[in-house]
Amino acid sequence: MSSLLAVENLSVAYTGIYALRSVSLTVYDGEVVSVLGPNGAGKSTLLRTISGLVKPDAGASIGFRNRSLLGMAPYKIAQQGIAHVPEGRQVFPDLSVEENLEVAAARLESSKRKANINEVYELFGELATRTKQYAGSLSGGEQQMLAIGRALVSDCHLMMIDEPSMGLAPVIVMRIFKTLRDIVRSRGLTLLLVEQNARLSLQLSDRIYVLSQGAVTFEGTPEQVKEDEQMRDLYFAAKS
Amino acid sequence: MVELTRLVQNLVAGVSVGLVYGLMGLGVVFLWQSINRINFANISSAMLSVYLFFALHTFGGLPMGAAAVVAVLLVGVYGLGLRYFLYEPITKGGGARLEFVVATLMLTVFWLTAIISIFGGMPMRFPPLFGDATRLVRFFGIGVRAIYLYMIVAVVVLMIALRFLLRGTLIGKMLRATAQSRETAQLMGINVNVTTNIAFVMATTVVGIAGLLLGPIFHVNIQLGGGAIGIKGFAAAVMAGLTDPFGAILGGIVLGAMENFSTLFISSVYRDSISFAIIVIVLVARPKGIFNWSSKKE
Repeated sequence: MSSLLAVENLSVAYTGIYALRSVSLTVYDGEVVSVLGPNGAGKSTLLRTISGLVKPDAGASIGFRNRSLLGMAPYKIAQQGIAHVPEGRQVFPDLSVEENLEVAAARLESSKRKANINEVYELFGELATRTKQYAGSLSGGEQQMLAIGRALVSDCHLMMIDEPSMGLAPVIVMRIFKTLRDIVRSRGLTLLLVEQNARLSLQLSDRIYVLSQGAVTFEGTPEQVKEDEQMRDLYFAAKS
Repeated sequence: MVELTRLVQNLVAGVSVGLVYGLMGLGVVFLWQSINRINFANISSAMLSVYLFFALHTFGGLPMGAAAVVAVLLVGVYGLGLRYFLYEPITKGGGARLEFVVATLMLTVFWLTAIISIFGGMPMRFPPLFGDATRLVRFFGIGVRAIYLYMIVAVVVLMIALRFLLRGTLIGKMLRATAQSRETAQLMGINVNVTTNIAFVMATTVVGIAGLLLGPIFHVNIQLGGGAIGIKGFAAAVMAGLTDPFGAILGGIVLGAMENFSTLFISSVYRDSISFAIIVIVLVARPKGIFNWSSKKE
């Protein structure tokens, strides 16, 4: 099986402090991969570096469908089929729901764009009733749906989501994760998920990476996570 | 006692000149929204378009219409120049807002001095691009100068066109997306390089058009670029709160009407002093803009 996304030896330093230390990570086609880790472990930096927003140190390689993404402009990386749903959702607040979706699908033909937008409306009924409403006036959960919708309308191949559960009520978080699972199943979408909520991520994922202080400290399947005593203590001790 | 006719005439004159100030302000807001920078160099666009038009017609022998179009196009190119020779180098070199503001201010002064060196500092007659601008057009017995009607029509048409561009077209929506978050726009696959170029060109172009509209009233005059007139366009934008391009138009109307009435009721000698005093008072009293009534958090 060839990899869809291959990250090797990725280091990122912000003014001398390492956010990532020679991280290697592989995502295969159709997989759901979660990156777990506490705040400040470098999870967001990992996604931002793949998107081209952050420049890695020399020696790294990032390949998507066997093509190097290094030095590519962020908008070009997005056009390769990588949709990054950023931390905090980052919907365009003064654009309407519909306009948010339109600009995310701008490079598609107009008939395809409309079809994709309608699919998102079917998936998230809340958005369908608020097409003309400014995105800034939506609730946090609706904004998260819109942020995921923006990724979906772009016809992406790999969706990278940064903390979809952040600041949302548990019932909304369940809903978002259920939708993500449905999307993955029905569309064969590949998902790279960054989360602090380990329980939900484990249920959804085929494989897990754990980042700690910028380095990969664990790599394996959800079953292996549960078997690993240290991991269990770290992520599930409080709840058992 | 001032008679009603004169009041209406002054209102029309004030509002139409104000609309054009607002158009200049719109250029300021456009760049503020797109790159989060105040660009004083954009003020020169009004003066540059008027002097280019004057030179192309008078010395270059171009017909007035062609000279006006070429002048406005060149001012649009000037916008690209501002991006690649000013904004990008300063940003790449680690310069922030302050450095950019000072650099654009210096560039405005450079254009002023350059224009004075080439054309002299005295105002020159503006070629009759809009025919006899002082001709009176009668409405219900009230005579209004033709140029004011041209101004109102031109600004209203431009507003409708701009609004359609920003709200009705995909490229306009991409421009607004870039203005709201450059980073997220890139993640959505929007080529922010292109949208930024469009923003710079549009910003200088509307100010260039505003210059030509003001020509018949203020003549070929260095005041259009950084003097009292150019600064007023800027003030219109700031008074409106820099958030809504169309708010700048309202700011301009308020400003234009205010200064016309100060001429009518006090004296034209104090017109500019009174205008700028009121601008300062407004800014101190409502730093976030006179039209910012919402308590919405940023």
